[in-house]
Amino acid sequence: MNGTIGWQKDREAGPFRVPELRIDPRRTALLIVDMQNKFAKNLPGPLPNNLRLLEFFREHGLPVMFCRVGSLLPEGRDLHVKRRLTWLRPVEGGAISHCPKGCFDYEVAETLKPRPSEPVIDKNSQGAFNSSTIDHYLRAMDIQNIVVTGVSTSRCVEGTAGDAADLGCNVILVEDACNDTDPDKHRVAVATFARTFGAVKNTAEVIEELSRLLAEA
Amino acid sequence: MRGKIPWEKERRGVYTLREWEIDPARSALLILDMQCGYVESNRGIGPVLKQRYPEIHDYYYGRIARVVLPNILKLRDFCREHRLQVIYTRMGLQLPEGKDLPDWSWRKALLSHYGETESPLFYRESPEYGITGELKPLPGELVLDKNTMSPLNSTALDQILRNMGIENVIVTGVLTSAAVEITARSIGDRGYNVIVVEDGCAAYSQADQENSLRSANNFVVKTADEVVDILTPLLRPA
Repeated sequence: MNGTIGWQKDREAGPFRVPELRIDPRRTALLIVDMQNKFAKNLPGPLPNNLRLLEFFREHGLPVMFCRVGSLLPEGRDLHVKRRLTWLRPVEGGAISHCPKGCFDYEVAETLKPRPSEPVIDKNSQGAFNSSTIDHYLRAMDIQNIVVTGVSTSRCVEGTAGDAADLGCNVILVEDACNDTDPDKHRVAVATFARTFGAVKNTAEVIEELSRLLAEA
Repeated sequence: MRGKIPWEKERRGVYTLREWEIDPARSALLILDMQCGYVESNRGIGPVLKQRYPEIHDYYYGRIARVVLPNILKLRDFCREHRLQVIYTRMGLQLPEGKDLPDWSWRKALLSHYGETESPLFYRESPEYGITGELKPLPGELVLDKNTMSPLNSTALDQILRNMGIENVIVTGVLTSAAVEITARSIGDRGYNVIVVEDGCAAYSQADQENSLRSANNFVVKTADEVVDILTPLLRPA
């Protein structure tokens, strides 16, 4: 059953905003973007909030999906040439900023370990819609609303959340369950998302509002 | 003639591609959503903005007239002269009442919230949907119709660019914080060399404009003059 959720009403009042939306809460998925070992250790901030949301979605039987980013082939031949140069380039200390599918750093962080019933989508681009079959999953699973979390906000998160919204999903970006290596980029990405693409909420708000809608349904 | 052009500006802590070699003949100019309803102050969303958000109205249409249109025209003339492909997009409802949108989507909610006269979404048969007069496309220039912000999400742009052998895409149009950002980001994410023309696009405020270009991923930002200056020597016959 549909219920009403506050959408863009509290954020930087501006033209053409959708103040509230009628949604079916049972058609809501959690999409955890690139919370892989490689990033989880460098950007620990959002881990506890991701875990809270993951537990909430699992507890209520709502679908959960994960994305992982990296090259799909060991030598990175599947990457486009600029990305191959950038990612395979030695960074300070001699390590290579490259975690192909199969290595430990590529796996989703242990705390959030996906269950067999939860799709894990591999991509070699920032936006999941640019290099994966995520759109097919969303349609097949009849998903209407997506709650997006993960890292990093201005890259893989906004890239994925923006396309999901552009394709018609109702997307909530969870501000305190995302993080970026650059705090300023986190801020501007959240502002742009709120302005144009969808709703921005924090973890507590998402849990509270979805609980209410699920109880009413 | 292939040649190196200045690419990314120095970024701290990240490997920077300061120069990039391109084939200038494989460039296209993308002009996003410069439609009557979005860029003419007395039509489409203009009167709505004027009544409810006069500051935004004055900033936005002032920038379109003084900065954006002249720069797009400059780049378009340049591309025509050098036989580089020009591609326009038009955004709007492809079916009456937006039957081509998901029934539950936020965009549909926007339509019902603002009603037919104030909605920022125009049906393709309406006069607001057409490309603004000064930028009228020539036969042989591609016009893509879409019902999403990014042409990658509802047109065959990616396929078309590949078929035409285009590797470099110069992005202009409106709004910087919507179609321009998502398009540039996604095309760049797929491997094209993308330049967003900062003085060839506009948002509803200077802050929106800067926010969108600051979170720049997968594309570089240059001015219209810089684009012309960079490409001209490479396009000159050897």
